Amino acid sequence: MPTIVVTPPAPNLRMAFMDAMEDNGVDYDRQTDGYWIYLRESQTDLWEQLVSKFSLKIEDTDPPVFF
Amino acid sequence: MDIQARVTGSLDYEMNTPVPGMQLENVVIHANDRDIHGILKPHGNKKHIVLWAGSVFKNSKQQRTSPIALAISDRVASAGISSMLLSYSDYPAQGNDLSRCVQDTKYCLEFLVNIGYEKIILVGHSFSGAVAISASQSNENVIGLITLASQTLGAQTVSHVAPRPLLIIHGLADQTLGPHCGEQIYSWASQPKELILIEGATHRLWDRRDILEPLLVNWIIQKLQ
Repeated sequence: MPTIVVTPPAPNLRMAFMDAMEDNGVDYDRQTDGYWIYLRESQTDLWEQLVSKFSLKIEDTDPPVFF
Repeated sequence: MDIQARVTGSLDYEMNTPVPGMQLENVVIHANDRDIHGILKPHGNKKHIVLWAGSVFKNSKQQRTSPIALAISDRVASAGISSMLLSYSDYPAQGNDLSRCVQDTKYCLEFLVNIGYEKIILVGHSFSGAVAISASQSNENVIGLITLASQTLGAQTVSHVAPRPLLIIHGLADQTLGPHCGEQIYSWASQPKELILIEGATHRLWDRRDILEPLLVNWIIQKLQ
């Protein structure tokens, strides 16, 4: 279950992006540094489609988490 | 609209006599433990109103009013929609007491229903965005909610606004509460919901009046039709 940090897509696409995440059951969180995506193993193919559709720029994968 | 003052349970209120030619009424709502001031701008015969939470900043020395609330109130008046501009009871400490401001807004909603308004759209800017989200949940007369550059603290329960429509507006040039706040609230909310990010708008939002004004007017009129 990788955690992926992506740069927010263009402002006019952000609502559609979040709707797509919600519709497809992808867990995510909007943080100040971007969108944190909590991907399940079964969602890998779906994620590739979303990356392509919204031209997402991946900033980090499995970043360290600080509490 | 003819409004008669009356007492309802623990809530009573007084309104000054409207000045001819000026459709403004200063309202004082006397609740259990506080007095809440506001400006009521009744228009037309419809029982529809927009409540602007925390849009009047009032103390013994001065009063400032949100230019957004004033302008939009005038614009929707032509569609027969009334407006109420609410001042929290604890100004200037309003930013420190979310629950008190939520209760002020709930009292005001109760007041508006008591005097005959049936459909209410609640609007809150910045801190008041979170106030509006919380206050809307317990009142079925609230049929829609708008947050303007809202903070996220206190907004986590926004999913309870559904099934009523929610409009979230945030400026992309907001350096007080970044646009990620609006996006985060959108991510917590349930449908129907809408997120509008305005290019070049700061936390005031009014610097993009050209976009904000028609957006708010159209949304309000559409939802209250």
